[in-house]
Amino acid sequence: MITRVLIIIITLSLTACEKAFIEKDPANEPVENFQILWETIDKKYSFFEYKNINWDSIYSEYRPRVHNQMTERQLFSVLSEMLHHLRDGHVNLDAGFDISRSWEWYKDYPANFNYSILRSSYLKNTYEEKGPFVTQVIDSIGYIYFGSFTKRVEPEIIDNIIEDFSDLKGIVFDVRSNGGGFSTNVEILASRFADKERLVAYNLFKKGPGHDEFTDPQPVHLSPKGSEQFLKPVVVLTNRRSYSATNDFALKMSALPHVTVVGDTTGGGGGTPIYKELPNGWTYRFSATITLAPDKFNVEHGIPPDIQVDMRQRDISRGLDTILETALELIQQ
Amino acid sequence: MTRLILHIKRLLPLIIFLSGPLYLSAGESNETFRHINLGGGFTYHSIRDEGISSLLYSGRHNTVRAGINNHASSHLSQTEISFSKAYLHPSTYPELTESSVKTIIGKVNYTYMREAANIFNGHLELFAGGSLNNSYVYHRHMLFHNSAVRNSLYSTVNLTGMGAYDFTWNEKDLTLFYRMSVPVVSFNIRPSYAMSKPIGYLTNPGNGTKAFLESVEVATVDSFRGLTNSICLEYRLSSIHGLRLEYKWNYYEYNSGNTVKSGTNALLLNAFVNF
Repeated sequence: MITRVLIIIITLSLTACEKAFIEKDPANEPVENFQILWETIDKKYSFFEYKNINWDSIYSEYRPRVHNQMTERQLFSVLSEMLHHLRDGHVNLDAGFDISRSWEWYKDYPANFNYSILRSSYLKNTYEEKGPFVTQVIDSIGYIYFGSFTKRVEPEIIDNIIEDFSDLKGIVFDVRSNGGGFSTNVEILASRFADKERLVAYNLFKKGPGHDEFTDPQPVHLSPKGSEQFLKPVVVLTNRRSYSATNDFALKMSALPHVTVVGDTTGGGGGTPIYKELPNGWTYRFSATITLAPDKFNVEHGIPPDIQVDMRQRDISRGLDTILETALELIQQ
Repeated sequence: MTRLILHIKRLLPLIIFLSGPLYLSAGESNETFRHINLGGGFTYHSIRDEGISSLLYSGRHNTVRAGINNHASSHLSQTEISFSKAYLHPSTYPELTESSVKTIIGKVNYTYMREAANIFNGHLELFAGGSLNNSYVYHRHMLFHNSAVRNSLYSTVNLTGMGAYDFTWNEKDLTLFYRMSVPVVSFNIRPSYAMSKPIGYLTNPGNGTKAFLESVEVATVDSFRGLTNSICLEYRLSSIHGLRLEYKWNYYEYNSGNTVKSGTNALLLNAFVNF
């Protein structure tokens, strides 16, 4: 009897094999790696329609160039070239030995920022470093330089700066050549300049594999936070290398009535990048959301400033920062 | 009115999640045999969640488990809580340790079964009934940044059957249990298609209740399929103490935007005490 029961149980237990249901990983071969990269981007990248990219024709162009006898570097070269068609600074392929990048968002534009001039003519030897910020007071105007959103912003530090600058005429918030980083920093900073809850952006999220499958635009609001808000004139300085989280910061600040954006159009990068990996261990990232301004302007290719100013060569040779000078003049007025 | 019904329907997972322990105390009056158990073991886990990666991840969990059982003459009820944690690695290149997924799984299971047959001179008892299983799954891909942390909640209503066979081996009284459970309907909250937050939390960031309700997906066997299989050998040390060695296999797959397929093989040792 016990033998019969055991046979039944053992038979039933043989169903306990998930390998029958979960397929093996795709082979680590160039063709499979290409296929997975192309398909994942096809289903989840967010700017095909906005950039008018025909991803199917890109497949037709690049698929014949991939074969299983090619070397890792040859494969990397083909995949990088394919991804380059997305014209997106948030698209990278990391193979360990190299990383593919798109530089178009700032490459052919004026730098509009010179840290040496800033250091020698404005910061001098009297500036202060507060966490990730460099601060200075110039002619009764507070100046903040924030070079990278990759540095975590502690709310207490920005509150402390706002308190120190509360009696000044205004603030110049310089985010030129800030290539982005943690988007969580954006709200911490911008909320210290908000007078009331305001609509500052819309986000659209992918909800299916179709190139146009997005949620409705989801409003993003900014509310005042911190011990004190700075509601006197504020000028935000931007250039083409103000990218990603910095682009988002410029967007949210530009929705505030006492804020003026001066300098050059930002570099853009309005989509939140997500990360994936290939069977060969290479990782890649790409934009998976869309961000719109309150007037539904798509900020992927940058946010134009309220006042366009380029650094003049004559000023540079005299050790002057044309964009910063314009901002100081604007607040003095 | 339709909206209200929809909201009640969506609240069901929460009700189910909380109902197991309450039901247990309601059933205490009829028990003839009641015990608590405590134990743990190892679980080997394989998962491919297309929301995280197109690759298969696997690894060994450390698992702890606790439960309360009521066994009356005609029915039994069981509430069990388990918790496990692991770092899973891609099967294709497990040596790349930084590409790991930290995984935490918490489960609350409530089972109620009635005796359906008693055969072989009382040696083999067959039970049939249902179970409510609530699983919380946390994944964090250690190599990625945005959308690296993903939380999922699965509440499943299952059909459950069990056979218990008493026998003596080397003058020791042993019981062999076999149990099988199949989900028929589930209420799930998963990360949205491309981001780590569930869809309701993206579209209602300021309203937690609405976000929760709009994130719940109701799934039947069309999109949510699974099976739990377990064999357990019970050895009584005395009239009130005993040990249970269990092998448990669980598989589920869920097709909702991103397909997830997950299988676990667990080897668990539990001690139990009557009270």
